[in-house]
Amino acid sequence: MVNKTKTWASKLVLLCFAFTIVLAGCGKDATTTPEPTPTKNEDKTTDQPKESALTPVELTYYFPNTPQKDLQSVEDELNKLVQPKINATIKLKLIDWGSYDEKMNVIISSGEPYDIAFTSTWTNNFYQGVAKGAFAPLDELIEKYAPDTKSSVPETFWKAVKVKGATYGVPNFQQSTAGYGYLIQKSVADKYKFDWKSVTKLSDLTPMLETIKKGEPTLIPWGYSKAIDPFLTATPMFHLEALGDSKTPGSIYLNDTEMKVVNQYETPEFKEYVTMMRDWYMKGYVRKEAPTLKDDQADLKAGKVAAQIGQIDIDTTAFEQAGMSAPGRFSNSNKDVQSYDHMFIKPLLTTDKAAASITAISASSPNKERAMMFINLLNTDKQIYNLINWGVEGKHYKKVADNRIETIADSGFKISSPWEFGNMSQTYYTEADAQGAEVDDKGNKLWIDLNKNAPASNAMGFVFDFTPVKSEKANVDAAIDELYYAIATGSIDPEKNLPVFLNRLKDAGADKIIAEKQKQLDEWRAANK
Amino acid sequence: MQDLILQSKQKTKKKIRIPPFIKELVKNKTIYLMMLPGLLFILIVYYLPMIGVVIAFQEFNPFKGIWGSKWVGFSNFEFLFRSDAVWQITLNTIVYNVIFMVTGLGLALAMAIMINEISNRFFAGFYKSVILLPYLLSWVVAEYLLYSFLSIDKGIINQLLQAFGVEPVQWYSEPFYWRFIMPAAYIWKNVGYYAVIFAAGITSISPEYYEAAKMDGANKLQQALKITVPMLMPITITLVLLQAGKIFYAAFGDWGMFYNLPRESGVLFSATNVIDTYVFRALKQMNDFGMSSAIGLYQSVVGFILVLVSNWLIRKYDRDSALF
Amino acid sequence: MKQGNISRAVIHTGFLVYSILCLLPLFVVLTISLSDEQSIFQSGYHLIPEKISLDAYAFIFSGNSPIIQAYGVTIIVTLLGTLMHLVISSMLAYGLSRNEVKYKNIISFIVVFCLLFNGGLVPWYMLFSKYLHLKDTLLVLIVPYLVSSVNVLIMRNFFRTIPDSIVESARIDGSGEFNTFLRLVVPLSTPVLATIGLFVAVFYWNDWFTASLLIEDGKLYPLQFLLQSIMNNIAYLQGNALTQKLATSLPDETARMATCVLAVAPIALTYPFLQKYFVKGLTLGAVKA
Repeated sequence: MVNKTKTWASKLVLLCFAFTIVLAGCGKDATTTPEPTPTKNEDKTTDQPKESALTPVELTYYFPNTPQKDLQSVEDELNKLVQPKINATIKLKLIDWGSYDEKMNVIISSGEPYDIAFTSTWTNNFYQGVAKGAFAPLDELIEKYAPDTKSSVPETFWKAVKVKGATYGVPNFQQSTAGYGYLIQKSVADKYKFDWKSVTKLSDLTPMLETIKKGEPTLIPWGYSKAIDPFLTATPMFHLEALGDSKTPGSIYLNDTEMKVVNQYETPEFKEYVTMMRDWYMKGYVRKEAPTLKDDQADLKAGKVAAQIGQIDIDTTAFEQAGMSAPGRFSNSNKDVQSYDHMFIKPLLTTDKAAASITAISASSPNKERAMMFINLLNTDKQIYNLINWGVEGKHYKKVADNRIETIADSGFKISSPWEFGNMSQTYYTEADAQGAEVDDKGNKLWIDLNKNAPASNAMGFVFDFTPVKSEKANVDAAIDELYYAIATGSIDPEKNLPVFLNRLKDAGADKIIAEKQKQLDEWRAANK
Repeated sequence: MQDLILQSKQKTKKKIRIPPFIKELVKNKTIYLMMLPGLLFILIVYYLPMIGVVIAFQEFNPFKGIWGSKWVGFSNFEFLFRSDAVWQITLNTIVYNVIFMVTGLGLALAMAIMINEISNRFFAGFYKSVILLPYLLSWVVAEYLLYSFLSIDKGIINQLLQAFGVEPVQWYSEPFYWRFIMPAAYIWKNVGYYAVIFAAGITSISPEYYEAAKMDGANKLQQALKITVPMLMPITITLVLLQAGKIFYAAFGDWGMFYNLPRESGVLFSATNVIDTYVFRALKQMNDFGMSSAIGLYQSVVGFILVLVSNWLIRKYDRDSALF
Repeated sequence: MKQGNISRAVIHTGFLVYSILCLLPLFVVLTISLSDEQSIFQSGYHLIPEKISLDAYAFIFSGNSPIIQAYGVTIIVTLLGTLMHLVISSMLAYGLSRNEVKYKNIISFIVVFCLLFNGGLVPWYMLFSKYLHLKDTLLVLIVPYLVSSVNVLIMRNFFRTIPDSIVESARIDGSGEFNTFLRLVVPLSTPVLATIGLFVAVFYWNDWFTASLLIEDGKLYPLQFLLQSIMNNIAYLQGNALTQKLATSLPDETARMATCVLAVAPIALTYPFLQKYFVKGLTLGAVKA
């Protein structure tokens, strides 16, 4: 009996071994397939770019947005424009906001081949990707295939995508200096005669929300979802500047020239904020489901949100002063809902804002040259840029003036994120933009000026490398995922649970991460002074 | 495979001694060919990934692949054993599964015995069908069903509580309740399935045993305990073993309930996080395949031990019913 | 006798209550889907709708909904997957049940061992995405589950109960091995094949996990994954179906539940006709196991 099993075992081992060899073969196959690129490379160096000698390729382009029913017709139309120019077709891979981070994580970690991806400091983290070797260095490619793009984007943006001397992404030139404030539905604010301009901090909103709760049973007084969590997305509102990402412990106070790294969850600002949220939650100003909501686009589309936090660069008052009347940001989601946008935290240029929208080429891409050509088109070809943003003319939007369009409701394509693809100064104006903005391109000039004039923060340019503390980070992340959103939405009592949360962070190694951040920050300061 | 057969044919001509292995393949070639697709499938889909466990010991770099990445020993496991999470999820996994098996099988047994007491065939059939229905629904659907009851501001239970003047419960932020909701949900979905299997087992027990017991003056309860339960032991054991094997099989197991029902509410993790959900989230969120594989391997090892232990227990009780 | 009546009454009440517990949640989801969105927004879910409305269904079928596509995907995957699963698994199981197959023990061991140990999720994912290049294809929803060890073992056990003499006599008649299997063994085994087929079909119908990892293209979303995505983000259902009239009364809560009803409907509607096979099949499995 024993003998028998032994022979079985040996045969099994043999079999496994045989398959290992097969796998090794497969593995090699898979890694050799991308190799034809060098030959293509030679092709291109001899030919001028945009020459028809290019072999046809397909480029996959991952980007986050709200799922679109009619993505296909945009893709078809896009390829009609792109193919004659660079002989490539684009496969648009639209992943919804809520799962983009996770999807890209898995794709990058497994090394699957793809070509182009949206990356930023707030989703599909750019610096983590660079640290993992996910993105291809682009300096040569930019020189060769995208000189126009290079000159059209200001130097400050290029600085933010440079890691250890090499450029790993093409920054999308957009409003990178957003201040923070809130949006409130115009009809509501007018009906109750709110003094919406007088707000200087979130807690000033409490009486307004109370009125809305009482008088407007069909509205959600304060819109919330994980994606727009005020403490994580609007750190300057709490006088803090995030280092790397805003979730990992370790931030500095904006006005702290000594740059002492603190745990943002231990600050009095956080305590005050969660206490206020508890009050709001208990009074029913936010949806009871808040801690599990990944996205509140649906509520916005339905026009159910009365007020919510906003990243605002040019607010209603500023538009008025410039002689334009703006429908407000709520109208991005539902054009019947107009809003007052009020900014009470002034714009500031920080690293995570400068790197808030980047297009990168995957290190696993078999067609990096062609990918760069396409990125160049997004940045310089107004027709292509606007197609991917607003869809097909006549089908998804109507042209109403030279540079102004009106989107068609229920058309199956409306992504409204001009900041996401290429150079935003090419965008058409829509019904969500201020009246008169298209005249002399006034709307664009407004934010381009802001970009130029915004003051830079103390730690602008600092990038945190978390690899020395990756196991602490994994545990801290787990603790945050478990408790943060419940506390930050007020669904559990902060009096009792905040200390528990802080303890969990400590046990998971938050202090070690903070110490590491401090160390890297000090080194960075020494090198940059 | 066909090459092998051809080769062996040439060899026969040359009158060289044929290895018995090939002789056998030739003799039953049709059957082996029939088995080939299934066998290949098992080797590729189940065995090939086993080689991938080495990732857990590497600083995995996707561009260098499995053969080129740096070996780092056990450092990928460091984070796992430094946090309490690993004990929490292991404990949750084991405790829940024990509760599931004990209450689920116990209740099912009781139900099966009662169903067999029902002489009206229509009713017996009707009950069997109805209690089996939830087994066919997915955990995603179950999430919707549960949500309609537990939703904090709209749910039926909170509406009822409010009608009686009781403070509504924050179902999705109170881990305590979930220690009961989970077993209840499991029972709701699976007990019908077990009960139908048991009921079938009971009908196959020869009536003579019961006749004899009746002669001895045993009442129904005694009959159930002394005859039905022991006679159903082999089926019970098979079910337990199947369940133990399923605990750690991502797609097949019931872990979907831990992922879907609590709607990924972080606060509930202390009561709802099990190894499977942890592994699934690690894959999607950790951004480090070395570390997520480490958890995956931990899961496989715990699963392996659990199957061995349950097999050992069963072996002690009844040698023949054991898996090996 | 009296005692018998009482216990019978207790048993019946018990089962009636439990049956209601099994059906009630489905009923609730149905009533919510038939409610008026506004009344739900203001006063929550109710067992009996305060105000009946078919808006949710009108909305789903207004032509902009991905649910029809998802139905198509799920039906193809379920039919094809079940068929292929049965063919491949039964041929393997048949080989394992034949005595003349000398290596059946080692092969059985190979089949059983993967019940005990597996490589984990990460290598599994990499196999399908990176090495087999099946990511984002319809096939990936089918291929990973073509053979299950448990089902192979159940089938093997069943095939073993077919008397050798029957197979032998066919062989003497000159029937090929495959022919014997197809014309003799398969017809004799319809009960076990039907049962396993039904459960495999239910598995494919209910699978959301594979799609959540390996499908990106919205057109390939199976029903259950669509359902899960809708739970997280109603935008999956909306597409952009936002007509100006509907803007403030967009039926998202009710549409969500209506989608759930539509996902359950095929099972609930065919179940009364199929239930006897399920029950019978389980019975078979129990006796043979």
